[in-house]
Amino acid sequence: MPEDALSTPILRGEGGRVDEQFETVEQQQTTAVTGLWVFLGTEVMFFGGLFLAFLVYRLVYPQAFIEGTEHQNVLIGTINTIVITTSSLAMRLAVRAAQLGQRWRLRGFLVIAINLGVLFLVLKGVEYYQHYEESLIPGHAFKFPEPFAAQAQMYWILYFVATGLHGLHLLVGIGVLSVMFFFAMLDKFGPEYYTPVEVSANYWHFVDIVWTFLFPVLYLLRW
Amino acid sequence: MNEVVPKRVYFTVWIVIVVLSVVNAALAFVRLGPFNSAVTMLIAVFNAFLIVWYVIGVRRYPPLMKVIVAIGFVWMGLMIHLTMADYLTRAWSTTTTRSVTIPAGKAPFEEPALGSATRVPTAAVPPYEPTALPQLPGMPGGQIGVPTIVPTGQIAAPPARGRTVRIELSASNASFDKDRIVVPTGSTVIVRFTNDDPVFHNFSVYRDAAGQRAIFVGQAIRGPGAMIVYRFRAPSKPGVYLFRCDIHPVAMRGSFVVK
Ligand SMILES: [Cu+2]
Repeated sequence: MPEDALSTPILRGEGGRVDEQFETVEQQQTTAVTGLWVFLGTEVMFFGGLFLAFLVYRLVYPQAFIEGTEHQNVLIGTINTIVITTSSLAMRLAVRAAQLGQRWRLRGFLVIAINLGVLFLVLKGVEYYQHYEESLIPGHAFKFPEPFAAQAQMYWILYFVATGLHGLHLLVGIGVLSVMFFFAMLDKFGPEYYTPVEVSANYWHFVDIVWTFLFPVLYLLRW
Repeated sequence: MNEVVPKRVYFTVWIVIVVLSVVNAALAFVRLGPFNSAVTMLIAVFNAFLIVWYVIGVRRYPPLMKVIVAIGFVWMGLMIHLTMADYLTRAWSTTTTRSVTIPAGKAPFEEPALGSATRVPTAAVPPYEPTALPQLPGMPGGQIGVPTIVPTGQIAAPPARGRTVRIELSASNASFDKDRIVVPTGSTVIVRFTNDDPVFHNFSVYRDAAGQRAIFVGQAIRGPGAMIVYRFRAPSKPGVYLFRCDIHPVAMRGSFVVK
């Protein structure tokens, strides 16, 4: 039997892997998920601050922000919303497969979730390239019709910061999911132990939730 | 929280979110009056709730963990609430109008070149002093401190005999104090614009109601208590033109009458 790469679990009772500070598998998983939500609480505040900044500027420069929004590609934005929602679904089905001990389904759903995450970033890159071609990257090359050039630039700064940070979270998520796939290939998960899959899935859903707000706020507030 | 949830729960949530997202994107191009932003954000909140409650499965969490989940969102709500309580009330003021003393026979500002604007620093605005306001051409007279009330729809500045006409214009609570400005054809118009709001406003004049063909576009200033002087030439053709704030073109607009 190979040495466990995750930790040095003590096998107890019905074959569950429980670290020594926990009594049961359930307690161990509850602790891990609670810890994740403490982390996600800081993430909520982090992205919340960005949304707040956007809200204040949206109220101060309504017309400029509407004109900035009109340069967005709503078609790609909608497709990306579907892509990331589907990726989120695949990841949840991966957790379910782990719960049911379906090894190949677990691996398959992880691959789908990872690839849809990559597809999201590729489509985002296409959009960034369009912004570049339209001279909408804030800085010296930024071009926008007067009298709103300076105000609209604020919209684009917030847009790039928000989507950039979201993309970074997605990149981290792709890394985490890839590690899960690696362990899934080594058969580390099963009905008795799938906490890492559950925790990564919840992080992945959170990245999806952030986009659930970024899409309407950055693309759809046109009036 | 470890039960296996039926697949149909996840698929139902997925279908609802995809359909609502597409509907939301389509609604962005349909005019719903003031409801567009509200509907857009309500759909977003509902989608996020579905993910938290059914996909992550917070509904199956023990009570203490539900509280931990809620804490992050409650703190974000507090942050947004308190910050907006500040930003949204900055325009509220105990005085209605900030008035300025103009020494007799002397303009308190440099007269700018045609088509340009002079920015008057806030510090240069003299302190409140109850003196009589010198009669500007075409201005209803008034006491300083007593806001000069120009009834809506009434002529703010009837045609002056000279080639130069001075207009006092102010903005507060995202609206102008005048909705009609009358000037003689071809006259030089000097607009002294006071912004009492903590947001940017400007003053522009257009040939068309859609605001596409500009006659004059003024620089935006941010208050409260900020002032700027605009100077431009009125059209030589009589008619009703548009003046507006470019930042709030729907709420802040009026007729610029040339005759
Ligand atoms: Cu305005």
